[in-house]
Amino acid sequence: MLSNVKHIWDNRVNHWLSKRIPASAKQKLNVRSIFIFPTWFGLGFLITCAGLFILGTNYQNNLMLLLFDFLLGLFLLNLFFSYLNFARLQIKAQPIQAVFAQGHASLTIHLLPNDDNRSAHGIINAGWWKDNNVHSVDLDAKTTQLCLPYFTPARGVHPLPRVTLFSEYPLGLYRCWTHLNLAQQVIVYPAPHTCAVKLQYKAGAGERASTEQEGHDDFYALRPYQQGEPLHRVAWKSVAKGGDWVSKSFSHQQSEAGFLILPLPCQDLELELSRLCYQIIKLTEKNLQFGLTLGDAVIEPGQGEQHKHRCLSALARYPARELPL
Amino acid sequence: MTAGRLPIAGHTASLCIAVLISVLSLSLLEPLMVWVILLTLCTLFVRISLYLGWYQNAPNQRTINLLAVLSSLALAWFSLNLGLLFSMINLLVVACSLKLITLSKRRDFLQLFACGLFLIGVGFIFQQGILSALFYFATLLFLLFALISFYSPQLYWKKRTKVISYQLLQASPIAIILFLLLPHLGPLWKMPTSQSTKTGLSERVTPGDIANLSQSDELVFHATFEGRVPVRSERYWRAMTLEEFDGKTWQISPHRERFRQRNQRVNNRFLPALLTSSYDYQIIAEASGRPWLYAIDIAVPATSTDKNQIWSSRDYQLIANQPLMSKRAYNVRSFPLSPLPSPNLDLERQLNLMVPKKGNERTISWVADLRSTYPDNQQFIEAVLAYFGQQPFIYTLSPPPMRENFADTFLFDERAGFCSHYASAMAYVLRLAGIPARMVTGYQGGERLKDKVISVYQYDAHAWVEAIVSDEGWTRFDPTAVVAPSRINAGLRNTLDATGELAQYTLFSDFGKTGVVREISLMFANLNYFWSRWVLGFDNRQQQNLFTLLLGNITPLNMTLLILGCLVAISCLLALYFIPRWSSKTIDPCTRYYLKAVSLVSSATGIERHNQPPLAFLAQAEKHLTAPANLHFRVVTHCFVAQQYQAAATKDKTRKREHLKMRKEVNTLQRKLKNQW
Repeated sequence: MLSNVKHIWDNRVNHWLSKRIPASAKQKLNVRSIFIFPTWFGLGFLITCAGLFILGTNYQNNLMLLLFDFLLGLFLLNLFFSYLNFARLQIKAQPIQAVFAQGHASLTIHLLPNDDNRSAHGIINAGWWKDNNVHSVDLDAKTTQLCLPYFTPARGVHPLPRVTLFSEYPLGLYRCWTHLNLAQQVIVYPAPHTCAVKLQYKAGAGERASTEQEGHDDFYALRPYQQGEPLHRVAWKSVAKGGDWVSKSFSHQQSEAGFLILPLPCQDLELELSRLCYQIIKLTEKNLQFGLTLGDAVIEPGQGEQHKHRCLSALARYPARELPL
Repeated sequence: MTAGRLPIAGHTASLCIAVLISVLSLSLLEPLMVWVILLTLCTLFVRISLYLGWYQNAPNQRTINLLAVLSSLALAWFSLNLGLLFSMINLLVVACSLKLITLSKRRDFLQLFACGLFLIGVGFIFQQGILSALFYFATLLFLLFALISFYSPQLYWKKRTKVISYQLLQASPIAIILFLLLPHLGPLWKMPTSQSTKTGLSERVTPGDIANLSQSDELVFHATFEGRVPVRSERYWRAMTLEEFDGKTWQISPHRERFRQRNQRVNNRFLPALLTSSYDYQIIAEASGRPWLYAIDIAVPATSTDKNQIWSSRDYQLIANQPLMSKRAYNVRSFPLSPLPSPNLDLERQLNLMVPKKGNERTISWVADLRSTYPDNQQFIEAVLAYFGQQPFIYTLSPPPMRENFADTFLFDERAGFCSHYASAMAYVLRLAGIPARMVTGYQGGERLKDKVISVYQYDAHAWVEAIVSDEGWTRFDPTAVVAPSRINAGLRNTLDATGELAQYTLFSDFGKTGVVREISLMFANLNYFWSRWVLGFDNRQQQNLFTLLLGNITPLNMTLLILGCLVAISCLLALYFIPRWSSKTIDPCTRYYLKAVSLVSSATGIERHNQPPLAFLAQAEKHLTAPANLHFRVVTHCFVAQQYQAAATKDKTRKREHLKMRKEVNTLQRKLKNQW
């Protein structure tokens, strides 16, 4: 019952927040996005003021009352000072790098000054929304970057939660905070699971001959370099001698490229995906060409880092149909 | 940081707060015990060592706990003598010191900050002069500096100071509005007061003692009159009525005290019949540690707040509900022409006829002789006063001590003394003659500080006699006036000057000073008075007066408008502070001059620049401008281009020169273009 209510409440808050502070990778803090409220210390300050007022009244001491009025004025002013200082910030998120499951993604936030020449001061604290781990950065120390680690338990594409930023500058009487949705998503690849590399070749329709790939780096021949071929294939020795650009080809390139195939149906999908992940990494290390078949989705054979990430993203998104670029 | 732990070495904020607590405790020299101050200084030393990294680890919790137990035992022991208020202050300072040693968490720091604020407030209990107020506001600045250092440790310290000073400056108008507007209530409950050093008139007067009181030039009170100011000889400020006499010492009668307490319990107030002619005045009394207030007879508290806090006793004293621990303002209305009726004739007769049985035989026989000659009370009193006038009595502040048979020695042998000698002797004589008499102490005269302001100093202390001549009530007699009329008409200074005694008393050293020194001391006295009256003495009544002055008369509607007006004023202040000003300062001067030149050219030629590059616009504008204007615009444009795109590393000085040049060019351009049209 209670959790139900909490759930509904959370939903409403989320909805409200997403309307009030829409997602964007770059945000200027302003009236709509900043919340402000006295801190516990601010309330304590008020209580101290009240104590001074009572003391001053009971001793009929005007200086104490004047001190009380001063502190009250200061409290009022700080409302604006805190807000203005916080509103000078502009937040920019750096695109986030994909990670393997069980690893830590890291979101880098840039804290830039808002348009005018005045910059914000004091310590800015940041953390994930509803998470007590807070990372601080002192703006006066000329650091403007802040990294927030995000633990990624499971494979998939996760939108990052809102980032809570808060500051208590200048006197800690008020806390200015904001919950920003920086419109970032992290792609979490399956955690690699060690296994043997199994490339399958489409010898004929329906036939799936499986062979161990051997001798894949046996040197086969030199052929003229074509625009776009990886540089490590270039036969630098011959280029250095002043010859034309030629690239080395290896024996396996002559053969048909193999495919990594997700065995379907399978008992433990995650395990299979993890194994595929491991194989993709291994094959890329060895610079081999390979394709990937995940059910209906097929990634044509290719090689290199970009291809690896494409394949791993497909694993992360599986069973989603649409393939990443 | 957010985990709650603070760095130890090099943490400026902790050091600042340690220094501050030490400074505050040194300023509270009066209430604090020496060992408490020493403890604070030790704490400061610990903090400094930690700050400099001489040793890394703060003393552990066990040591501190032990210290805390020891300190509280010591405090408990001393608190018996100290009284509640002083014990509490000592406790607060001890707690602060111990907290300072263990200061390692965020919370600790913030608690210390709040304690610091409180200590500043406590400081105002003991010191309220202008200088102390300035000192305490400086400490407030420093305290806030510590706080901002806590929240922005890396900020340049000059910037921190600037931020804090700026905030305090901006807060002051708000504080003043609040101070004027917020109600100044009466005390909500009785606070513990200290048994601190009492100054001024004492409750016991032993005329044989030395005259130590008159040698002090401390201020006792300022009286600010609203209308007419009474002449010096009428200014008898009553403080205490002494009715108990044991042959040597006059003091307040314990019977009287008991009656008063009983009346106060049942709130049985005393309302003498008053004549219409009156003086209205406000008195700002300095701290005396005693409840007696000063006023001219017959005095009645003027406002309702004062009526609640001041008790008019049946012997015409004004008694505050708590001793004057700090400056205190009260408003009084005096009816000088009213006789002082005796509220209970039989009782007062009984109280004021008591004389010791033994001693002073010569006086007793002399009084018996005199009484047989003058059976009428009035005539007898005149005869006694005539005796003072005819015999060679001397007014002096340093009479010989007269410990045994005071009246005999004084009246027949020494014949030298000051006011309390004369008053004591006369009251004793009257009592012997069967006329109820008592001694009244207070102040007489006072210097005129301003047109309507009288300042009364300790050396104005005086004693006189009251006697029941007929059943109408009490009549004042001042034997000193007979012996030394100048004491009453011109003041103590002039009296001493006349007798040649003045040189002995250093307190009058500024008497007769001329020129700048006198001007300065007068200015300081005026400033002090202004401070006392408008800041320390600003009370409910003055607030009402201010409101009446502002509003005409006070109605609920008016008050609502006033409050709304003040809120609007505060909001306007805030708007003034915080609405971003589109000042040209944020644009650098180079761009500003260029844009100005462009707008001049645009309005002259009708060509808009839009987003053209400066050189392209120059080329376009050239066709439409006269040669001299063109020349200047070209210079401005080239300067701008050079500044903006080429010279990144020019020095400030050269840049400034360039700016000056641009400004000149722009001005000439403006003139040229004007001529052109």
